Amino acid sequence: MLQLHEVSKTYSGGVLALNHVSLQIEQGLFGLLGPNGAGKSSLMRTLATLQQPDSGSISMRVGSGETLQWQGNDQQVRHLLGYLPQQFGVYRGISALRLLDHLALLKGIVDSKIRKMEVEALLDMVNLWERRHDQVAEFSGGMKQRFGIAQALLAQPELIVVDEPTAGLDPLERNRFHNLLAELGQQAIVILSTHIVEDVADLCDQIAILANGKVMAQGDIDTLTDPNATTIWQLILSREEVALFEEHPRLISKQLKRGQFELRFYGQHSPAPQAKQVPPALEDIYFTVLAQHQLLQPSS
Amino acid sequence: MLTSLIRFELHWQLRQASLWAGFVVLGGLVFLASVGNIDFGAGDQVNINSPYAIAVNVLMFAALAGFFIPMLAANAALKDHSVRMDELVFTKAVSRRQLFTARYLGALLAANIMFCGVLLGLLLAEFGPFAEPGRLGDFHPEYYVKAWLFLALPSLLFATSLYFLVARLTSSLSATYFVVLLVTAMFPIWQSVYSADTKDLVAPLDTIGIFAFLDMTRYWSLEQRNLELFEMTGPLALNRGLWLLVGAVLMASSFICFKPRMPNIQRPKKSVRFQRFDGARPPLQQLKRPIMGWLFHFYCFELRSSASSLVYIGLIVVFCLNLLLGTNAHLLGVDGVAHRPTTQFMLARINESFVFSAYLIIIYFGAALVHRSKDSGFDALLDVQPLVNAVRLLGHYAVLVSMLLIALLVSIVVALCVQLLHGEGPVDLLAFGYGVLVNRGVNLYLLAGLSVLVATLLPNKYLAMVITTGLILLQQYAGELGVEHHLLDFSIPTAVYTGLNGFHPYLQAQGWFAVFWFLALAVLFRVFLPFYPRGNEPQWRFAKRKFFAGVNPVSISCFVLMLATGTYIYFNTNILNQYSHTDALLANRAQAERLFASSQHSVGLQVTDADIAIDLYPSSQEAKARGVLHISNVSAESVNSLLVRVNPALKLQALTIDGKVPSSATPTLGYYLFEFDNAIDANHQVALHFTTQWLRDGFKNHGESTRLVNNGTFLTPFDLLPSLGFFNAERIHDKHLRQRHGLGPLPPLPDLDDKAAQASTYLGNLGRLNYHAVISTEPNQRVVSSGELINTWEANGRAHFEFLSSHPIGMMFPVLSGDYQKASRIWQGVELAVYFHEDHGTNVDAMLNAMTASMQYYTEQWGSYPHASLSVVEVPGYQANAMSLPGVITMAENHGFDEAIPSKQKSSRMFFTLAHEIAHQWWANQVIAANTQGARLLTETLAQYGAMRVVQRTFGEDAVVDLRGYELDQYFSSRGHVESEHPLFRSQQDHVAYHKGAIVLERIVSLLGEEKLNMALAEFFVQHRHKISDYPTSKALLAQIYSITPPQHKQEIHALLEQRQWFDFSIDSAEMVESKAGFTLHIDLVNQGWMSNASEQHIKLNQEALTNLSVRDEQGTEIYVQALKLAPGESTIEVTVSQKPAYLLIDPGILWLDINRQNNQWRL
Repeated sequence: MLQLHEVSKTYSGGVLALNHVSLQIEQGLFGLLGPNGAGKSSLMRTLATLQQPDSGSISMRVGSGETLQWQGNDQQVRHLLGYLPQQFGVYRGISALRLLDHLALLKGIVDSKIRKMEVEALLDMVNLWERRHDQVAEFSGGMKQRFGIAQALLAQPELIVVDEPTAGLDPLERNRFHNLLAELGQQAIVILSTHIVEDVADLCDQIAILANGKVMAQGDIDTLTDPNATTIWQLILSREEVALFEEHPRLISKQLKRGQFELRFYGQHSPAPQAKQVPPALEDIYFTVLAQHQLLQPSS
Repeated sequence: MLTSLIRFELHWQLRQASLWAGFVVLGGLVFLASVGNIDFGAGDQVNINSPYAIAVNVLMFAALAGFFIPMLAANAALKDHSVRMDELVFTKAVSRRQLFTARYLGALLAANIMFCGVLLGLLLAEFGPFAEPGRLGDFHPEYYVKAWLFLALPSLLFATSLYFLVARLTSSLSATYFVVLLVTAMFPIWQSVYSADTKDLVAPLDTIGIFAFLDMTRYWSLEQRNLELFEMTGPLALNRGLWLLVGAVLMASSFICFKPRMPNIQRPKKSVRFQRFDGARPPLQQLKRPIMGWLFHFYCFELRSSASSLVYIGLIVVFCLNLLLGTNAHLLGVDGVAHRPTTQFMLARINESFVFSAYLIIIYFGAALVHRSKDSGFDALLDVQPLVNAVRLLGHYAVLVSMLLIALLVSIVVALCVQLLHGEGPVDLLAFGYGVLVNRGVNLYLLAGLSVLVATLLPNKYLAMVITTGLILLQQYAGELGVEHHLLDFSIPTAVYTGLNGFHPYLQAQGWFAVFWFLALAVLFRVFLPFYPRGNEPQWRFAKRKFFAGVNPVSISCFVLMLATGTYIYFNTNILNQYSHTDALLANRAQAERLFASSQHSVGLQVTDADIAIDLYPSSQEAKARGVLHISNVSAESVNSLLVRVNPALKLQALTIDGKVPSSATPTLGYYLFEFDNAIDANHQVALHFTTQWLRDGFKNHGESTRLVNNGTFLTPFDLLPSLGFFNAERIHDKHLRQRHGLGPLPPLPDLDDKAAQASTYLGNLGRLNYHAVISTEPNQRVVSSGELINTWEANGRAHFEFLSSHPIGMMFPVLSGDYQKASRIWQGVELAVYFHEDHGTNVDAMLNAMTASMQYYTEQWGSYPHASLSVVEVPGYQANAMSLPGVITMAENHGFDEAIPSKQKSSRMFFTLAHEIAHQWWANQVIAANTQGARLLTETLAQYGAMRVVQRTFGEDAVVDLRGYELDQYFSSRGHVESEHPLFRSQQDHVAYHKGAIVLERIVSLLGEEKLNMALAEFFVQHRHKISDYPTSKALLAQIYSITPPQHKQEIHALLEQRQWFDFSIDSAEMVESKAGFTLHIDLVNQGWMSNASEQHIKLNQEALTNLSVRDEQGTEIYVQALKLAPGESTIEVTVSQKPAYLLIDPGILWLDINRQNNQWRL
């Protein structure tokens, strides 16, 4: 289990990126949702040892049964970590095979035979086997992303942190990657940060919604999207009628569908007589949390 | 619209840190260079705000600005592309032309604003409080404006255009910097091949313009340099115009390339299909932290990438090219001498060629390696790997050192190939290994560490490069800026290799300083390791915490070791040995001059007998001397005091006269005063007993003795023995240094009519003496000294040599000891011998021939040789080129022994040098000039004359014409370094006595005839040889020459010897008409002449000149020659020749002091 306790981080410019974040993350897939600037990437970078928290602690019970504290143990953490950043580059003139082998050695896989097996298996896993001798720098965006996924899986990490992993992947690859993550979630903690709510909804057991550096909501995805909950209302309106509800305080989303607008509201009470109660989707929960914290601008 | 765009671009440029970094660095460096008297070619006597110094600085710093301009130009060219705004920008309603103009002009203006830092630095040097008043002239703003407009602007335009274009073509800042390196690396190549023969090619091609400028001003006098603003004419105009044009063409090309750049989309090589890999994922393994394995792997990985980069390969190619071209130029005789590729020669070439490339490797790759992962975005993956920072930092350092090592090893291979191709042997691998990899390499490895460290501490790669460049420049010029102790300048002393002595005197100091600085580097690495750029935190956040994290047992242990090593070094350099800063040494010399220069205590006294014993211990660099000097009063007056000078570096164990010690002493300056109760009467003697010791304790910071060495010791009496009176060589000659140390102007030598001065020689109290010496040395060595070797024996494991002069000799006798081979021949009863290192025997036969030819001529023309032998002794390369002492001539190994002697028909520098030095056996050792003005006419000028004549007799007129050309060039090009020139008969200036003197005497020969002049000299020689008082002056020689001068030549010879005249003969135009009679030439000639008067005004002469007109064919063969009476001003002559001529030449024999020989020739 990964435990974050009161983790805070303020950047040198004075921006409070993480504000007393506390989370408990069990084995499996954990989704991290939040608008831009919510602190998701700060949290990911902190978990990935790329920056130190100003206060609070991070710890994890590892396979050996010991509890590993992040503070002062960067190198040990890096051994059990697989990290896929949102953007990364590679050196020019180096093949996928060689670069992955390089990273595998730096990861600590010393035995060359084992390393070879690991590298080749991962390249196959991410469907880059046939292009293993090509330069990574010449790869298309999707292929490069797959290389990133491969390197994140080196040495079977116990904690996998992935930031927008499916950006640039075609639908087929995206599916394959989702399956892979689901498979990995059986043995490791996988933290998935994304803007695509659907990905989280499809994959994750647990989620947290971050905004303004704080955890606004967290929990089991099934509980959050309980079909019996009576909190989400749907209203189908014509273009002329929409204006009446634009400023409604409980409006969480507005979508144009086949010439008509679908508006969704949260709350125990119906926003209009013609409103229909609907089972909440994860997206509704996400928007509701943001609206409750006055972070949502649905008219936009 | 365009104005707004330009304003926007300029505003953007002005916000670039690189612009202001360049402004500050360039301005700071030029300021330091100016006030620190760092000479970039302007000459150390030139005013720092003179038009000449400003021009040289502007040219050099415009070149240096080339390192910063890529950041301005390439960023302007690439900024849309790098942030993927191409498509946004190029789809707006602005024309490509407008956009390009704004971008380009923005970059060019920014480059010029940055360059204003240089002008500001120069102005600060002029108006700031640090400039020496004696080196400042009046302020003239036009000097700065003209230098910027005509010298800097073409360079700035060229650089901006080139780097803008390269950036557009390659979309890569690295590629742009690669071109910067190539352009920069051309400078040392031009430098190595620049010579009189190649200057017409090099001057236009040099992008900086410095060679054209130096060529144009080569013959400028100091006065011209201080006052005359350069004209845009000749090679300078051609050069600047050419590069302005090239810049404009590149700018036009940049415009053509200024188009939106589309993303580089490649078609996949083949469709990617899912294909299950049949191997399985390996079982989970225990991950390890193999520090050494990581280090090795990281090192190999990074080295492979960096060493195969285009920039590195390019630098190696440029370096090899530089080495090969430079070597070839020197082998062919770019400095007038064809060399053989000896180990010493090749090591010198490697040092010359490599230092520039090495600094570029250090500056560029130090930053590039550390920032490589960040630049490529790979840090996002790399930083989360468990690889420790220490491995990355050490890996970068190891890679950079390896890149330097590879380059150095390549240089060794090239050098060995050159040696093998030329059949030079034996190959000394150890010397190359130590000389290149250690002696030269260690300072580079230290700088490499500094470069990596700077890059580690700075977030910006280019800023790191700039700072490293600044640090390297500071280190290079630390000495000029007053930092001389190697405990402070981050370097080890560099040893000079000699074939005789290897690196011997420097090894110990080098080792200790290397340990000290590598420990310092270890401390810095460990302390600043926590600052290694990793992750997202700003590097300097939590700086205090990081710093204290770095102060751990490792860094503290290294620091303690470093302190201990530093203490030991300090103990050696400053306690066991006396460490003196150059300023302190100069202050001592100034103090000695103030206290003792005008001392009258020893006037009239001379050493007339020396009976000494010297024990040399070359391997430990120690010696003992003891003995007695008999001092006679050769004047008519009684003398009651005596000032003795003993080299203050010696341990003086005894110094007594008749058992009495000095009445006062200043041991720090080496002066001891004896005051006698009973005065020494005329023709009476006293005996000075002495015992001195030359000890070597530990090692020194600098100034290790190169005189008493393991092999090739060369000592003079001033090194080991007491001498009488003030030691004249201690005088400070530089005007500014004298001023700085509170001394007045250098007092002139006594006037020619000063009778008292004729009682002593130009060497001071060194007169003639009877010499008896027993000198012992180590058993494998042989001693050479003056006098006759009357006995040798071995006792107590040491070799002893006894010398006795058969008649009084000049007191400048040498003590030489080395492991020598000997080659000799007997010529008319005199043993001519060459003592040489066993590997340096190639030219020995040619040397014996030169000695024979010289002895033959001088004895035949002037008089007899007084000794039983004449020995040429090889000395290590750090000694003076050659020196003539009674019966002995020393010659440095790199001045004759390494020369590629052309053939029996051609002269060589070795031949000329030996002939010159042998002439001194007559004119310095037998006839010693009085201590008055013009003494050098009787020594150096006559030796030059003798050497010219021996060359003429041995090799013919063409050889001597070549020598005259060389002397003429040396004479005029030296005038920029002296304040006011003396006439030959009064001059003590080298360029007058050696170079002008040689031409003048040759001209006199052409007027009077060689035989007649030699007869006069022989008569003069007989009158003045072996004198011990009433020494001759130049006036006496002039009288001798005038006595044989016919009236028609009196005026000219008088002018040559007693006035300062120079000429410019030229052919203004020539036309050729072919007729039945042959080829008729109508030639317009100009004869201009000037004379400097006593108040240094230049007066135009109006006199006829007797010279020749030579008409030559395409092969250079003279087909017609005509004596000319060249009228003053313009004149026209008509000449008809039978053969078709190719070109005309006035004064083909180079017998006139003609300041511009280029216009003496006319190609038809």
